[in-house]
Amino acid sequence: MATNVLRGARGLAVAATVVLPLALLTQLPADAAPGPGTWTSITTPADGTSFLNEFGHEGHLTVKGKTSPDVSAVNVYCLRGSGSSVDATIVATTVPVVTGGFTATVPVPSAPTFPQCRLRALPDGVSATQTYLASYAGPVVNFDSWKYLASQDTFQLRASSRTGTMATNGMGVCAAADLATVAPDETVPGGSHGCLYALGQSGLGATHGTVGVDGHEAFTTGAALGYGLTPTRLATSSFHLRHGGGMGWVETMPLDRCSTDTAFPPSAGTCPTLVSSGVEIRQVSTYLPGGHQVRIRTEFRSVDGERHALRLDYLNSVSPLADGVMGFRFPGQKSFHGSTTGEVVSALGHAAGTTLARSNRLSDEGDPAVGTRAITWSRTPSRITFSGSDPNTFGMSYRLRVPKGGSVHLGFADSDGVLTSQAVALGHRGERDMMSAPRISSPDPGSVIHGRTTTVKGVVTSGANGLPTSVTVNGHAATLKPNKSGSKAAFAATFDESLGKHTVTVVAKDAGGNTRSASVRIRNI
Amino acid sequence: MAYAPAMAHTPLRRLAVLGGCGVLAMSFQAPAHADPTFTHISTPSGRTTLLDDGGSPTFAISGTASPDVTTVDIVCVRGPSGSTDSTVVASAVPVAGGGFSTVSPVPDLSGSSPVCRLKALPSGILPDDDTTSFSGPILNIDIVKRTSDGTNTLDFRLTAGSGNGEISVASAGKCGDSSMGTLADDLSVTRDSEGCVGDLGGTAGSVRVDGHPALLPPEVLAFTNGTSPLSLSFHTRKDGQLTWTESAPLLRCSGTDTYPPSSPGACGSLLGTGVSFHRVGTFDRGGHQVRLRDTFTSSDSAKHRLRLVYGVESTPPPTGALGFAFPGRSGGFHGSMTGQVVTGLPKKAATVLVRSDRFTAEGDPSAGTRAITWSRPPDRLAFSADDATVFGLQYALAVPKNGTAALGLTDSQATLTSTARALGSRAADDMMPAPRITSPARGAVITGKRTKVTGVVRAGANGLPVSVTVNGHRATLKPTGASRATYHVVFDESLGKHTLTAVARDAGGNRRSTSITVRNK
Repeated sequence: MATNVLRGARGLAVAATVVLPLALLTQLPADAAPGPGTWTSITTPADGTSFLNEFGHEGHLTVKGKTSPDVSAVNVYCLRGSGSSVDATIVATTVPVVTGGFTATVPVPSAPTFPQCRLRALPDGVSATQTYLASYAGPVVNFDSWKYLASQDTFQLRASSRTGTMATNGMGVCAAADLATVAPDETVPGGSHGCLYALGQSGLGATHGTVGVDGHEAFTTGAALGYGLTPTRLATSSFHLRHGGGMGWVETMPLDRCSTDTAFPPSAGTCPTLVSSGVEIRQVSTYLPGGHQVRIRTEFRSVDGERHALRLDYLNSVSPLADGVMGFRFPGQKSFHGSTTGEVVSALGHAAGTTLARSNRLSDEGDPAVGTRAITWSRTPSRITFSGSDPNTFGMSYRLRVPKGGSVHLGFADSDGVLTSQAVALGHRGERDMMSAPRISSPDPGSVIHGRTTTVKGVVTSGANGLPTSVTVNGHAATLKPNKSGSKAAFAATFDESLGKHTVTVVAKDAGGNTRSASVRIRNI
Repeated sequence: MAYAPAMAHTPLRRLAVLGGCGVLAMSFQAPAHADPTFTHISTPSGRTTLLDDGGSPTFAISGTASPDVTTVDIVCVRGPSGSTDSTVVASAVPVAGGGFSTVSPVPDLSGSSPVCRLKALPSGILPDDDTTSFSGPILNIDIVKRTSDGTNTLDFRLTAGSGNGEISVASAGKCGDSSMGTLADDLSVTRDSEGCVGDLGGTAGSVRVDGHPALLPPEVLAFTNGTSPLSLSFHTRKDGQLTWTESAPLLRCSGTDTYPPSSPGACGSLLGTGVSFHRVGTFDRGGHQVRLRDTFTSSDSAKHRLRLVYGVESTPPPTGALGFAFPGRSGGFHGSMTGQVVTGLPKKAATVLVRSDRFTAEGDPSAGTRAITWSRPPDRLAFSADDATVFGLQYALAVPKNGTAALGLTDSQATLTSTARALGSRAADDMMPAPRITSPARGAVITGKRTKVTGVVRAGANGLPVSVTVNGHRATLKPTGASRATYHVVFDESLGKHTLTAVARDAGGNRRSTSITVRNK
């Protein structure tokens, strides 16, 4: 059984509320309908509050507020949309109002249609289907939730933040799935649907799966279960809300292989025992506060002290609209085009890059029913290959080396915008965030150095591709000294400069070919 | 209970499992891939503003279609998929050689939102279907409805769209700027600010010239046997900015000063008051601001006393309650009372905020805040004695001999109060342009202490500035036209570097300044 540790959840325990059909909403007890000037205001929770709970184990939520003197009881709803097409989740019914105030501690609603909605306390007699409810003011809240799915050793997670919402699974299934924009009335008109960065059961071909270690087929826990095999151990996952919005989750998962070589795909008969491949995956994912980007940082680490050769074929499947056709824009391309089964895309650049996928390439820019997804990688895949049977599914292939007792790193970002221009901007941000700039600790900006001998020191930090592999200072190679955890490395370089004013530029380069630089002005006298 | 994280794909009415089980069961079964059906309207190109000011204007539409399309219906659509509001522009347009072309009348959307997206739908496709593959431009369809006696325009109503906003406007004597709304991404509109701003009609005190109630053309039409022509013109830009001008004489009844006259006959004959009214309206700022610039000009070479009450009426939603935030007051939005008089207003351009429902949360898309900015402080701001949603801005102005009195009002709207406040603040700044220093040049070296500064000022909402000072020295102002004046001033400065600051002040108490640095040696 996986250890699903819930960190930072604000709820406590138990019970789910029910989304009632509109017909039932109109059957709530009703007093005389309030008139103009009747108001309610929910003061707790605050606007933008997120609740994170495990599905079926929801905690409690305290709702407090005030009302105009003519209100004696309120029904608290969480609403999306308005009028006859409202999507209403009942949070609390017939909460009494005493001296203009009300308070109720109730179970957090369980799995509403979308996590984000607006809480409103409606006086008895006011229907949630009424067109105008703005006098009953309340906060927009996010009911984020996750559920462990034992049959595939994965989870399903849904979250919202500000103007975005997303749904995803664990890394053995879909490391990123759906992203969409939430309209001001909390409805979700469009979005980008699919399954990205999947290391699941099926590969693109019939002869191998998505992961290979040292030439052997290797299986994530979900893939193993899918073939009827028993993993050496299950994955662990933990979820937490982030201060300032968004959320994060951390997964660890063994990569197993059959104890004896067997044909692919395996079965319980041909592969009765799984053993560790010697490699474990640790993946840290972040749903950024803006609500339109998921950032994924993956570490493949040697757990047996040996070096290992990794073959990874990340699978990505994107969904077009029912009557639309997907459009793809690979790095270096200026417009969307269709894809063909079996198509191979190469010349993808030599550093972090982004592929755009539009859910209907025939649509207008700005059509709210259509979305553009930015699929960003920290290092260029050796190739992109479309499925032989589905032009909306493609694999991104990597060959990586896990050093003895060490780790190899890889990063992705998944972004979404109604406008392609928004998705492009998010993709650029995703690329930039793959690596941080070096920090120069010495000399200080504006320093005066006596003589020509110039020593430059500083620190580089690990990015999506791990620690930088080289640092140069004005073209001179610096020495790199990583710390024990491998999260940082000190660099130092000494060289001669001519006398006078100079710009000292430190350039760090990572294993994915990304470079970042920092400069200071100094003077040698 | 099933747990199915999923994106409800509303446009397709597909409450499908996508992220969850759909993904978990990801398979690589190839869907049938027929050549996609599409249409694309290439003309008009990009967001386009069409103006229908009568005369049955037409516009050209052309585009391309996939080979399987033989005819298209041109429709203009808005609103969410599934409950789309559509207007048919042209039916059964034939497609030949993969292209189509037609010339159609500008559709009449005056009963609806003036902004929609033009699409060419193949026969059999309905606007409520998934129409994302049928691409086309967004149209702002600005429509003017004139009321005429057969010869002269007497009144008008205008609807217009720009950016993500839309407006409805009527003539000055019949509401002025009446409603503003915000467009969603799907072009559906939330009309969260309804009412009248800048109305100069409807009460005995709306316009009085030399003590007599004066009538604008809509009131002449409504209350008398006569007519008074309203001179109108409209100009649109491709970006959606719309400018209109309305001009008319201010008339009065010969038989009575009662307003309105008890009967058309009681008015007697119509007399000129000696003052004509001229309004320039501009709609822009992304569709969320209307600027009204009014001038009252002596048409008989005599001076006149003008008393104006600009009516501001706001319509709350059926169960909401209006909120008012007056300049110089703190504490957010408050209710209003009949007969309430608001005092302590700043003595310059300022903004009153009107929230459609003061009980709403900031950001609630069904509520809005209107920012009403005046160019000069009213002498009195008072609510109606019988309606707490109506207040008047009262002004007493003097129209000089052969001259003009000027006044500006700006009406801004936004869903967020913070945005409305920012628009109001910008509107107040826009009431007066800064002076320009033409000499000396920036950084100039002046020989000796004698310093001569010349420059230009332009008329703002309150007309030309009434004074200009440079470093505290009063400059001489010389008008060179109705909207421009030069100024000059000579004074001694000590030797060394100085900042020369020209400060212009207008009749509304507003100040704007410009500075340059010079050196006297």
